[in-house]
Amino acid sequence: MRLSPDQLIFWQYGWFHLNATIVFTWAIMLYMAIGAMLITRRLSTNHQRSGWQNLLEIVVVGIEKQISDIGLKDPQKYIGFLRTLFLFVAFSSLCTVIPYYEPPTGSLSTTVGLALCVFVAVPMFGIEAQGVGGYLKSYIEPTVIMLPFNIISEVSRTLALAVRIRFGII
Amino acid sequence: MLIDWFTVAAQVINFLVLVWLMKRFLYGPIIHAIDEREKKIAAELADANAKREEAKKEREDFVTKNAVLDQQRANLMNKAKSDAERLSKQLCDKARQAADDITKKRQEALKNYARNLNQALKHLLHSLTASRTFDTSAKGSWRWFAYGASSHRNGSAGYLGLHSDGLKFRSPTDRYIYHHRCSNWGCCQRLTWVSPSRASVVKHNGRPIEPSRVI
Repeated sequence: MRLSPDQLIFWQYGWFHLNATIVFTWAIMLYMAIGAMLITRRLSTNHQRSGWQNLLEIVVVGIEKQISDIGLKDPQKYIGFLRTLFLFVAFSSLCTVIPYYEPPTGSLSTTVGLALCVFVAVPMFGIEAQGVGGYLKSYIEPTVIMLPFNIISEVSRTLALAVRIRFGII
Repeated sequence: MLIDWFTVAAQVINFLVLVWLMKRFLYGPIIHAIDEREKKIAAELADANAKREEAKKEREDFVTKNAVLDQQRANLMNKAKSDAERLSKQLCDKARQAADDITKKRQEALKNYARNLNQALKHLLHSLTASRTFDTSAKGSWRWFAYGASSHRNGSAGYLGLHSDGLKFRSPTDRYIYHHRCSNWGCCQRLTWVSPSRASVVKHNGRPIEPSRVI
């Protein structure tokens, strides 16, 4: 019984191996890149536009609006990372209708990798927005007593992301 | 252990590459297209606002010009009316004056005609009454004409009868007929009037005229 696509190895050379997770991730990436190139090849700036362009604009504007709704200023800085995360997980899940397809998000390795990206991105965006001092100061808010709890919440958030994507979605 | 750290590392790299790919081929063009459309819409709205303002201004100008034209037209109409009334009054006065003149002339003409008619009737009446005292059965033909008062001294009119055999003179107060055989009829105005007491002598051109008959 195979619990994870990591166990399906297509090619291996020493410690370098290509398993189903990596291969299907590349397939998803190729699919998304080609789709994006095809849709954005002839974009319309008029009132009339294609359905695909409309869909992408809805996704782009929707995520931007959600980021604005939670109070973050200048959502353009976070849009690339968040949208890519959303689209990658969405496409990985949607493509399960294809026969013999193994979703990359079905592997704990993928979700841990994504969680690690988030774990690194959050302090990076925080420091970019508030500076190092301001970001580190946020850990002792509202009081200094909350410092360990804030650190634990950072770590637990990462683990929670990994587990939620792996077991909650696919 | 389900976590393959090589796969984790590979997935992190794959995800970062995917982020770059999406930014390059998807987000950039889409956001650019959205921004361009928003700019176009903003430009169209600004243009529409500008045209609306311009149309409003032109409408106000049009209304103002219309009001000015209406005022000018009203002024012209009033002036034309007053001119027409004045001209009409002048023409009526002229026509009335002409009618009065014609009436006066007609009245004068009627008076003159009446006077002339009266005189002619007097003369006719006198001639009719005078002709009864003549013997029109005399030979020859009579031609009667009146003579002017310049040749008459006592003021009464007389008749000079021209008979074919000579000039015969007769006056309403005279009872004599003088036969004049002068062939110079233009000298008839030189006939002198003699009173009945001297009716036997009538001079013409200094020569006495003998009475031919006594009536």
